[in-house]
Amino acid sequence: MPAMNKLYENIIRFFEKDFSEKIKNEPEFIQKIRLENFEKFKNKGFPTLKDEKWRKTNLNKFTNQYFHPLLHNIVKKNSTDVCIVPDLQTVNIQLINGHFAGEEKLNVLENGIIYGSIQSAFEKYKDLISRYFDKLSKNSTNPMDWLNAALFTDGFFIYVPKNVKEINFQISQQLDAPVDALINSRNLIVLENDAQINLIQCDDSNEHRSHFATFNTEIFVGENAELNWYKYQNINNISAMFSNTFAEVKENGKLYTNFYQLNGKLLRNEQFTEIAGKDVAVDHYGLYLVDKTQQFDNVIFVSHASEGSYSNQKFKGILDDSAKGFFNGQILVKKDAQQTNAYQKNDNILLTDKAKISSQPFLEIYADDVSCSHGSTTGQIDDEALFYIRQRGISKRDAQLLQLYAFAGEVIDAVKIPELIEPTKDLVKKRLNGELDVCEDCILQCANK
Amino acid sequence: MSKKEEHQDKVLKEVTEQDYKYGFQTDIEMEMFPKGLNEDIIRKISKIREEPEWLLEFRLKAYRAWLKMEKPEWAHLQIPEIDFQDLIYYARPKPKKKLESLDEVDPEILEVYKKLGIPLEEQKALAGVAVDAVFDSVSVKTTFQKELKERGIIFCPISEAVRDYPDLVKKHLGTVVPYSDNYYAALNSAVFTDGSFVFIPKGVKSPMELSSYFRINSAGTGQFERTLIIVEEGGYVSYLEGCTAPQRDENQLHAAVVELIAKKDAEIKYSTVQNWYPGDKEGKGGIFNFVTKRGICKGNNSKISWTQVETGSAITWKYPSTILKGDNSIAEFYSVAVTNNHQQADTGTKMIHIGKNTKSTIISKGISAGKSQNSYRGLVDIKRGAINSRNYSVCDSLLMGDQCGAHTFPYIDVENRSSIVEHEATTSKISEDQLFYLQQRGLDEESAVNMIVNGYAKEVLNQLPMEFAVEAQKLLEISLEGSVG
Repeated sequence: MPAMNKLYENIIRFFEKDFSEKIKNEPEFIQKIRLENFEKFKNKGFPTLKDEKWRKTNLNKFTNQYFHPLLHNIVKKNSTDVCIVPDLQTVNIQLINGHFAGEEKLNVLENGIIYGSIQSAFEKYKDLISRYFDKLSKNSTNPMDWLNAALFTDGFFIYVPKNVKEINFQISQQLDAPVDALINSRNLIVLENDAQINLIQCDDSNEHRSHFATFNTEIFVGENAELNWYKYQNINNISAMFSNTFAEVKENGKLYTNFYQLNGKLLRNEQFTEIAGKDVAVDHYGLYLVDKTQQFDNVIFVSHASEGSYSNQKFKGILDDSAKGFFNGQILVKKDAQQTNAYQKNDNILLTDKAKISSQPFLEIYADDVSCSHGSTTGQIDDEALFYIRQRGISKRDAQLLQLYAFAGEVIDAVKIPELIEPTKDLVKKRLNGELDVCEDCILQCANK
Repeated sequence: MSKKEEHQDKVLKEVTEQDYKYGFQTDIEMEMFPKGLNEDIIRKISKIREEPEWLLEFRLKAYRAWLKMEKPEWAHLQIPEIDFQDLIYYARPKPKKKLESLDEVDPEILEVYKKLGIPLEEQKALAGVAVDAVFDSVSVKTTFQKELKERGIIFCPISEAVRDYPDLVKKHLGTVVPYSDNYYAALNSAVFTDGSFVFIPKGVKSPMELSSYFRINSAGTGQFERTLIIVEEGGYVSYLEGCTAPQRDENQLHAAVVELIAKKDAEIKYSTVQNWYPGDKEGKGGIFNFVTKRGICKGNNSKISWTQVETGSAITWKYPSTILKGDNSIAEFYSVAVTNNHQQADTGTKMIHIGKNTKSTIISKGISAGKSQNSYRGLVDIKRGAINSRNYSVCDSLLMGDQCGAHTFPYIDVENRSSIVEHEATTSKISEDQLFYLQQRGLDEESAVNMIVNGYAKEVLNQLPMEFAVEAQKLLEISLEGSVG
């Protein structure tokens, strides 16, 4: 029996009454996916504290609330055309409430890159999409994924042909509903062999409305291809955002993510990465800076199905006030994945006695010739170091900030795009200083103001 | 391959490829209940044991709770369906006249223990060991009671304790592991038939190691032991538990509950060598070891130390845990778990820090060979009030062959800012400060690491009066000394 609550009941009613009508024009395979996932969601409902991966994450505050499902993009906005990172050439994508906001719904660049609204791509690139869509997420057991697959309204699609390299995308994803809104958005990124792109994404919101948003992204990295993804999440403190990513990386491919969770009532990022070829390199970096009554979760699963690959998870968090953090990292090394090097590290600093962190670094290993390690630490600011800094005439607060900033450094130092380093540093400093507010434009831009 | 590695390989081979040495059955007249479990069976168990009304109530409450509970499914284990109505919940050798000396013990039973290498006959010579020998469900003979009694120490089967010290048992039974704690603990609470009871009075340090051997013998009987150890203020006890079982094809269930209570300044050392029949090379047969062990450091400055060497059982589901309630209390968990063939183990510990300045250490070494699956699962929970607490955990795994699995599932929850929690796996690193300190004193790194990590567990294991203590030591040597540094 699914747990009954306002949001669940509304979603079921909405899907059965209004939504199933609306999707009738969609390609059959999409409809099928929606219906299957809806049935699963209907049977299970939202995750509860009894579900293993949700034992530390209480959704009640949100599931007892009414959210209006947004079917269309009801906000018109001038899209951010300028590049938000100075001196960086980017292709700009703007999503408002999960809907692709560009004038042209689908764009083809000279080099063959296709990008635009995924809804539009279903029609025009049906064959291409059907080869990839839901291939990685279909076995998910997470009700949030079922909800997303059943109810997504739009999202972005990026296709990078063979050999196309060094393209930067800037993705500005804004939650800006005029009412409390339920938003479900779905993205697909396909990199053919030898392709290489960078994504710079910011998730932002307006100040006054509560959003309940699921953003699922499927990523296919071809042989020898490379995707680098930077994400800055800064939404208001009455919204919840669930960003789940499924990635498959083929032989010699590289996947690199570097995510910053800065503000939001509840931010939960789940990453599922399947290493499906030899000599793959995967890096997942994350920094979560949590205060007030915020809660930030990271659930990271890296599966090594092929030999000779490398993966690294590094997540660091600073928790202040009554904040909560949850880290669940897992390395799965399958039987044939010999010569795997897999690492995982989660470090936390608690600044108060009301903050809570739950860290679960898991290893599941079925191959013997591997080098795997994990570590987890939780502690506080080193008093001796603090004393040392203060001796030099620096105030206690500044000394603390210096230490916290140094702690965060390991994630920031992993930023590989030179133009992005300074803005990232500024953001983190501002956040640590308590000066980072909700910003209606991309947070990277606001940080410079 | 270096010399050291070769040596390790050799020892591991010796240990892991050995056939089960303790497979034999004894035919002793048994008194059995019919198969199945219901309230009548529980009433019968209670009646035959002449139990007071409150204990029957405890059993019935547990049974009713158990009916509503679900089997835990979260462990990394493939557990075949168990038909709880197909088990016999009570079996004991037919009552004979009261025994006065060892000579009167059934010679067949003595023979069994002799084969097992249990020094029941020689124990007076092997000074310092009192044995509460449990044969299936009823304790056959307890010795050394007199000497212990002089110091006020109570060491007897729990059935006797219920009869002779009902207030003590009533006050403490189920306080650490409540009857509704989990599926198997509830089952145990409903049908437990025997086990040991230890009471150490205020200020008394037990002059000898107390030990108890559990045997599962009759075909198709489950064994539900219940052990309760209470150590009053300033007391100390070291308790050893060792297990072997005869070879049999049918899986057998063992769902024990162990409760430890350490009051102010008290210390309990609890050591286990578990060498139950693991099933044959095809994974047929073997014991299901689903055990709930938990201790509470109730008073300030108390200490509980668990040491386990797990080499047997087809399936192990076991998490000896400590609740650190008293301020400055200390808990330790040292574990070596070896799995081979088709064995499965999901074992670890829980350290629940409630008191201030509490410290816990977890050292877990898993070795998996054959087609086995070996998981460490542990919780470190630092509550808000447990200020200045510390936990240090190391969980290392050694894989032998590419058919087995080694897994680590640590759960770390911290709710205050003054505590330090460190968890490491595979790369065994100790606090740099401690290492630095010892190295400053002229020790090389490996000696320093060994001294810190190894010393304590070895000290406890060296005391084990069993022939497989050698085996245990070999395993420990490999796991601790071989892989650290």
